Amino acid sequence: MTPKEVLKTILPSPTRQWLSKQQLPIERARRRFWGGDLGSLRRMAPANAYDYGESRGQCIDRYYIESFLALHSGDVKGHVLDFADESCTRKFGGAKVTRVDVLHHTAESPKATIVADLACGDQIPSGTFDCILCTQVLHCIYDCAAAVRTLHRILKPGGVVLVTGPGIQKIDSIDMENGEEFWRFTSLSLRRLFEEVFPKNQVEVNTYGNVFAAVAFLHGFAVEDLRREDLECHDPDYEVSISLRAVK
Amino acid sequence: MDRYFIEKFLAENAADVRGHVLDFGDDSYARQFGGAKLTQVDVLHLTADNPRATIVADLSDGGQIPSDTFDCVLCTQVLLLVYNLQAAIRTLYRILRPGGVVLVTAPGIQKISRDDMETSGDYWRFTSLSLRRLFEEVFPKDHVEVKAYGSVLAAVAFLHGLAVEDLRRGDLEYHDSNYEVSIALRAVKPEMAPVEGH
Repeated sequence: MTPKEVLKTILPSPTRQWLSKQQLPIERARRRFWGGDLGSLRRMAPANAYDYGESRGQCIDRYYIESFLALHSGDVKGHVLDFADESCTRKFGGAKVTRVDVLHHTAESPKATIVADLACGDQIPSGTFDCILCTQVLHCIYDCAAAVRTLHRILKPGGVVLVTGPGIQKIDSIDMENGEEFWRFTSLSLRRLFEEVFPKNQVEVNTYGNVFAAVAFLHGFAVEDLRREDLECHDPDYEVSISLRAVK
Repeated sequence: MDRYFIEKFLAENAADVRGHVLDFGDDSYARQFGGAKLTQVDVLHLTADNPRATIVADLSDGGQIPSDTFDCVLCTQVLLLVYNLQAAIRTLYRILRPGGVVLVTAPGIQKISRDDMETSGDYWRFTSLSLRRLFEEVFPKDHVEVKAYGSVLAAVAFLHGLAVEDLRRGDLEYHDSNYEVSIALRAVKPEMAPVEGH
């Protein structure tokens, strides 16, 4: 039984109704005071311990990732490589996409058309893709420098890789158990990883976030919990998400 | 805030801080945790502009630091500033005496260090998994111990730039494994070098 179900059996119906009526004002009051005083910061348990915000709406890092992909949707065309599933390719490539491959490092994903480890990846043919959508992938690869060499090799000349990586993010306990939770980047490390393989003038890096977005993301709040301007405010000292575009 | 975790870790392992010790930036941790157990302290700095430095070297190159020299290396909050981590850790192993100990701390969640970003570079945030793996590639696996510190409160307070004094005693003692604010590692160089090829 979930805690909610337990409460349902214990509390009489009028009490439950009263409690549910109080939820929204309490929630609003709490949000109004969020951030300023240490009183509301002083909590040992995250506001949402279960996930990165999916259960409340759109994850804060997804907001940054999608705004980056929307900005470069013109690159998502031709033969595209995506990871885990092809949803980003469909969303940002649309009719410009002629063919999609989905890479997964194990055979268990039914959507995968290529099963390979990007850090070696010898079985992926060279010079294949017009575009690679490598979002939130590299931090799960121990030898991320080798993965970047593979990305370069499998791109067609003139092809584009669109990359995002986390700078500030809590641990993904499932990835951790699977032994795939290695890195948080800075704009400098992500840039250098790619500049060692791609020409320097073909690499562009951007960062997203501010202290409030970082704190909200760590607590597991979603985009819907924040105002748009809370997310759009950019403080270069808080790199929640880092994006990179590189052209072969 | 991170200093609290670092000093807690060093205090737990203060017995290792003895003999000939290498510290970074200045010798304050070597003095604080080594005390009378120290016989000699060297201070490494990347550039020659630090008057306390006795060794000017880049850890990821580090050819000029003699091998098998130190009983203890205090490598706190250093690796995040080194792009080529594997090379830096090979240097740490090489310059330790057989039986010597390296005490390492590294950030998992931290805002950008603007000063470092503009000088040495601010490259990495780690997880306990990456820090362990980096050292296990050089040190024997059973000679490496890793520990993470932090909670969502510690992470949030640290990102906001609050100090230990802003929190209640005990707030920082609570550990949540999903929030690795600081990661600490202790690795020992074996007394006998492993035989080549084994």
